[in-house]
Parts: sequence; structure tokens; C-alpha cells
Amino acid sequence: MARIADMVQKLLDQHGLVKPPIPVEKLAQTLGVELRYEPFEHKGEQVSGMLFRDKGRSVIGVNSNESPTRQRFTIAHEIGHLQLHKDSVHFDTPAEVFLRNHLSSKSVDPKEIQANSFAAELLMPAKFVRTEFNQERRSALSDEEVVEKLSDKFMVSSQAMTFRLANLGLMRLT
Amino acid sequence: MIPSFSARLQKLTGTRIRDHRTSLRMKQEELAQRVGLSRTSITNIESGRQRLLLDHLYELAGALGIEPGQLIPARGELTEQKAPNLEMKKRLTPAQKEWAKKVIAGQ
Repeated sequence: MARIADMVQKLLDQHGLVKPPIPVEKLAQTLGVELRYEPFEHKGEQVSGMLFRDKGRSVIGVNSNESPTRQRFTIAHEIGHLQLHKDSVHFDTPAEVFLRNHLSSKSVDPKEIQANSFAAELLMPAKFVRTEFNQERRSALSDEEVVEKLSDKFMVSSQAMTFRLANLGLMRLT
Repeated sequence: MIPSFSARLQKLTGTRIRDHRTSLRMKQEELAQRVGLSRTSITNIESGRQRLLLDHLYELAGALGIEPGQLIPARGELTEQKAPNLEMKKRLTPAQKEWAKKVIAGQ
């Protein structure tokens, strides 16, 4: 995963992103991607987002019915596909975008795991998380409060932040 | 929706008719009278909603003082934006496919 972390770091440097929250919408647009928000609602069926590429045109579609933090995660996930993979279409349901890496079974496409690592790195860069974590820790808050504060700062779900902190060895999963 | 070949053909032909008509400062009403169609038909043809008969194409071109060939788009214009390939390993449901098409169609 070092490669993914390096790629994200380069992206952050190139765009002068030095603190949370990461403006993923703007980043996507700067990368020349068209962002399309389309609601999806159909009983028993799910959509989180997609990436479509054709002759130099790139489009990221986001299910605008999902929560804002999920939409941000979806955009980050699709940027991951854009930077890491060459396929012309990626169509993602919540199972692919939000499934936690260490929980995912072997049947999950490795590309989805990579796109998720990319999304987590992009929305919650390790360096930023450590800095903010140490700062919040000084105020002697409970784990839950720290997670809340950090998820607000990074504009991610508390679940995503919990997993990120655990992955970085900053907090233990209970 | 991704426009089909015929939808695209109708749309481009209609646009050309409209462009020629407006450059002559001709009203839809007037063009309609000249070719013996209703104004609504002209509106529909120009917007690509109505399929154009070949003999109407000649009449319209005549009324606009041009050759029919000037109203039809080149093959390249029609194939340029061929429907994007949504083929992938994953099987999409019709609703998901519809959503994907909306996303790809852009604004």
C-alpha cells in the first residue's frame, strides 16, 4: 500500500492541500473530471457511484441520495480508480465503496480494495490524522469524543475515522 | 439517455433546417406554408422529435433555396459520439443502467 500512500501524498503536494478537510469535489474538477450528482432510489438496489472514461473525457457519478460524508468517500474512491486503474467503467455499490478492507473477503475485487485505500489516504492523510489526533488527545477527551472531533474536521463518517485511527495504530477497535 | 443513431440524425438534421431558416429570417409558419406542413411539424422536425420523410427533405431544402445534401450531416458527425460502451464484468440492473446512462450523458 506504500505506493498508494505515495501517490496520494504527491497529489496533495501538487494541489497544495495541507490540512483537512480535503476538498475532493474541487480536486476532481481540477483533475479534469466532470462531477455528476444523480439521485438513485430503487427498492432493493443500490448505487454509490461510478467512474466513466472515454476518449479523454472522465465523469464521476455520485448517488446524491447518500449522506454528504458518503458522497465525499465515493468521490475519493472514484478518484482512486481514476489514478490507479485503466478500465473505462467502474460501477460501485456501497458494498464496494464502504466495505472495510480488513473485513472484506477474498472475493472482493482487489481494485476495489485499492480504491478504498486510496480514498482513506486521500480523505484522511496519515500525517494530518496524526497531527490532529495528537492535538485532540491533549484535551483528555474520550475515544468517542476524539473520533467525533476528527470526523468533523476531516468531513468523514465517524465509522470511517474509527477504522482509519485503528489502521494507523492510534486507537484500538472495541 | 444516450442518443441513438436515428435520434442523433434527426436532431442534427433538424438543427441544420433551423439554422438555414433563421439565417433567411424566415418564420416557422412561413416555411410550413411553403412545404405544406403544419407549424407544429416544423417545430418537431427542427427539434429532432419528428422523423423526416425523404420527400419532405427535398421540399424543405427547396423552400430554403439549398440542396437537400446540405441538410444532412456527414457520417463522421454521427459516429463521433457513438454510444459509450457500458460493458463490464458486473451485471447492472435496468435501474442501475439507467442511472449510469444519465451520469454519462452529462448536462
